[in-house]
Amino acid sequence: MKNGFLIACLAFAIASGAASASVPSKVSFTARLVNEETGDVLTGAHRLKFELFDAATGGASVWFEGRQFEIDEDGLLFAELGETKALDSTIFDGKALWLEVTLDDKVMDPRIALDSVPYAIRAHAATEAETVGGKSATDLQSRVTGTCTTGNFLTAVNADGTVTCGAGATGTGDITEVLPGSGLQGGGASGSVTLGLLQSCAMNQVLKWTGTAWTCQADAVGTGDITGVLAGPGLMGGGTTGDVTVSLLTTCGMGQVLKWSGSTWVCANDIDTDTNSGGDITSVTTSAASGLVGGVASGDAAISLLTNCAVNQILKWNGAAWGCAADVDTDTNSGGDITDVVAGAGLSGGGANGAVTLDVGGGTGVVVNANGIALDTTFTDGRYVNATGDTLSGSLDMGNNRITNRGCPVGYVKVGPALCTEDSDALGFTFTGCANRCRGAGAHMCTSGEFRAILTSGVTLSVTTLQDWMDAQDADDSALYVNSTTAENPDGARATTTSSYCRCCTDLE
Amino acid sequence: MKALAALLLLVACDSREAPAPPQARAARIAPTASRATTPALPSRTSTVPGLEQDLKDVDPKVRRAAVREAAREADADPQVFLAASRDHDREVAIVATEALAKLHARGELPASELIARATDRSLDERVRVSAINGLGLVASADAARTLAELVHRGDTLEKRSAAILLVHQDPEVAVPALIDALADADEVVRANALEALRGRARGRDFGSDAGAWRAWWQSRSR
Repeated sequence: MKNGFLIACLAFAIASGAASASVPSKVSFTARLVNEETGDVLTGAHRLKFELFDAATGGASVWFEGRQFEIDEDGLLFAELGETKALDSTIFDGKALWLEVTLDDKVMDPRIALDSVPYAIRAHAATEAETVGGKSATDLQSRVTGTCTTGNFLTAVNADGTVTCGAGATGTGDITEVLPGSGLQGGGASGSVTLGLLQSCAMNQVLKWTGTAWTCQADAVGTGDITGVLAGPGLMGGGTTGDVTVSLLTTCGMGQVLKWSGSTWVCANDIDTDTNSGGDITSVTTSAASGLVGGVASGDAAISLLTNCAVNQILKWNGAAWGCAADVDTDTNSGGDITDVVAGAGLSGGGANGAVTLDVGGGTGVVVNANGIALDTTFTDGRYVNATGDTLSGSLDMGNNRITNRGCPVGYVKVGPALCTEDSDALGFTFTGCANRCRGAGAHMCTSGEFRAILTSGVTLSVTTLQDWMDAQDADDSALYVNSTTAENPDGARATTTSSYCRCCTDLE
Repeated sequence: MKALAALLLLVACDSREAPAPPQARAARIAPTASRATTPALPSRTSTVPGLEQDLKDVDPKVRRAAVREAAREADADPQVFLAASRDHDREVAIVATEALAKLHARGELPASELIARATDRSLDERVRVSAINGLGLVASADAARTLAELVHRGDTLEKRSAAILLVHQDPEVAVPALIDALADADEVVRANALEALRGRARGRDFGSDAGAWRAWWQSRSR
């Protein structure tokens, strides 16, 4: 007793009733705990662990349970094993078990062997198995435990599971007999045997199983098989039984084909009717006059020139045949190869051999560009007048022609064949001031005659001419001005030192 | 109303007194003569039959012809021209205003009537020019003050015209105003003022040098 305590197992019993179907079951465990050295009983609260092993020492643990117990004053322990962890038939499956008790982490020694009492749990399970698959014990064969030695074979199994063995037959598993199975006949147990179909049948028949026996029957058709072959358009023949023949509707002449006429199939020539040919090439032929040789009536045709020539020669027609000749330019408008390129008037460059270039020679006032010839706009000469800003250095003879379509300066309006006048006038000028203003503008004060021309021109100015100064005076200190919008009595006179309006006129440019 | 009051006060004052603030002269130069008293003018009966009716014809051509004919009459009725000077047709108004100018030159029309038209910016510009010319050609204190005021503070039309016409007015008023006008922003105003000064200076020409002109004028005054 290595731990100093002695457990005296007083009782060990199944807690649940044997008749109960409830599993797990409990096992009552009663013991008296005594100090082995002093003989005093152990009382009070203690922790106990119960563990089942499949061996008296060591082995495998199959169950355990531990909790706090209150030991009474007599040292008695009343425990229900299985309260927290089931003790069922999976644990008590018939094998031998030992209970190990651990008191306050001290393992009691030795383990306690479980007797038949706790094994009642297993017996309870056995009572549940009075029949197996509905068969009683008398209907069941005990487990076969017997064996046969090498060379013997099992001849009988006894009721208790033992076996009866017998000596092995000769041979090594060879076929000893061939028996005819269903639909077959023949066979035998010795010698060479023959198996054959049960019976012979009529031509094209086969053996068929009727469900009870094999009988000869036609190799019958199934659903979906062809039952008839009918001749469609362009064909004839066919049938619904036996071998049938289908052929084209009719035979035709040599090379003909059946063609659909639009209503029926008829024989017709096999003509290529596509629009871009007219017929297949049937042969390729050559002749000496063609300058070619070769050609065939079938297969791949090779054609070549009539003959090879010397270097740089070509085939030429001499009027009767093709022959090799020099490549000479014989057209009528040349007479031969160019032998020299000479620069003509206005040109420079050229040459008698190699690649030559002709250049256009530039002239005074003319420039030669990469892609053309143009006037040199920077060149000035009295004979030429540029469109803008140039000045004639001499007289311009118009040859009695007129200059037409002349214009007026900006701000002026054309009011006659050669007269321009300001479209509006300027206020607050004296007679002299107006004259100066117009001169400064390169124009002049409109005269009375010009104002009359303006008033009769029919041209409507933006601002009326009323009160415009006229370039005319009737005394030293008075000048005329426009005082009417009509030409009948257009002018009046006022002092030159009065305020009036200024309108300038100018000739057409 | 405050501005108008300032302008009316200017009418009553001498031009040498302190001028009204610039903002008080925004829209119009006030006339420097007494308001015209048109009813005081003599009313004459036209010798041309139907002329008065034609001056009221709806056709402007008829009115133009009528006012021209009236202007040729030696004793034309000023009332005809005073009314016609405000005709909606520009030509009628101009002819009438020039007729008024002739009457003024003959002393038959007070300057105030021309001043009223010269400074009435609701009138056509060319009608106003006719009125300014008629006013400026006759020397008078009213005309001189009006033109001096116009050349200082008028619009472009008024400045240019006044700069021309001041040559006909009292030099004591005209010359200082013209010298001031040499500094005007408008080139034509400056040119007109210079031309007028040259006319007054009898051959002297200081160009655009206002200081030289002013020195000359001060020396001449002494």
